[in-house]
Amino acid sequence: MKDKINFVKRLKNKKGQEEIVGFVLIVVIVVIIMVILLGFMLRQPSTKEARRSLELGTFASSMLSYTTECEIPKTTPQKIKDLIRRCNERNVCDNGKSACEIMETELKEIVAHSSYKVDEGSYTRYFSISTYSNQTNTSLIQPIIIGNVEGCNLGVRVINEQPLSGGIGDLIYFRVEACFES
Amino acid sequence: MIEDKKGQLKIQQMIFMLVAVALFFIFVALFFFAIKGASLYKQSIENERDKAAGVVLKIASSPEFSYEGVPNGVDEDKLMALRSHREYSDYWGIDGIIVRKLYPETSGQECEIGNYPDCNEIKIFAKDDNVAQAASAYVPLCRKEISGGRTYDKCEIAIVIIQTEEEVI
Repeated sequence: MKDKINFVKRLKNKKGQEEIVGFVLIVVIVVIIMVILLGFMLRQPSTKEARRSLELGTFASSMLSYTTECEIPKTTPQKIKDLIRRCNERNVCDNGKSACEIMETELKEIVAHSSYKVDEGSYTRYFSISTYSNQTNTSLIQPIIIGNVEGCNLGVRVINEQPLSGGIGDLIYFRVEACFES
Repeated sequence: MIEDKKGQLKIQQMIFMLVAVALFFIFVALFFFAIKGASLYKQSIENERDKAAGVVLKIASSPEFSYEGVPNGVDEDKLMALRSHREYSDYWGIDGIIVRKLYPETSGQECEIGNYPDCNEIKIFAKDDNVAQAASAYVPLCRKEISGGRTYDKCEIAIVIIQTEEEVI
């Protein structure tokens, strides 16, 4: 009689264990499926950011190729990328203005005429241009900053940096940074 | 008799469990596809824009447009020579190519032989009824100029706009 009771108890325990195993199995399957779906949902394509980066790159290249009114020597107008080196060497243009001054003025004007100007209704929230020397780690001109960098917490932020020759043994980095509404 | 009833109860329990699990998965799948479907249209527009942006850069760097010695540079003289050539529409698979000068500011006129280079816009070809701008890219727009008897490359900032009606290839 005692043996029979023990047998029934053991059988009940085994059934309980089986149900727990089944429950755990279902929970594991559900979790795995949830993880897979979450992975699919979170895998957002970053094409927008890549395109913005490409656009900024072409804009930066266009700026560097722009021909300014600064002639060094006379009858040789300088492009922005040449002016950066001239500015590093503290050269003066034929019209008496410094290379740095003309570069700063022209860069500001170019940005003001582009889609990167920051104002009401524009997608650009922040835009900056800086040029700094590799040797001295100082900025050649006062960085051109438009907009507020703090207003770009949730936006798409892209940076383009191009190394340019700054004279003998020196590299100048032309860095453009922009932040767009997401 | 009691054991039979217990067995039926167990089977019922299992059926309820299976139905509940199946329903759960169906709802999860429905939720997932609903979200995916909502973002599908947005994603297709983004893909089209990506393709169009690629086409703009491809056009700008093609031998028909490129300016030697300037990265991504577009030759303004070549553009003037190519004006009104609609055959390029089939070649590129697009409806229009317009190059607009941004800086320095010039008079807002379309470029003709008479007013070149003091003009604002060069239309290679364009569909008048298609006002949609599919994609654009900044380019240096360059031409040869003479200063004090010396030729030099004069580059301005311009934007290349392509118009597409159908899918860009």
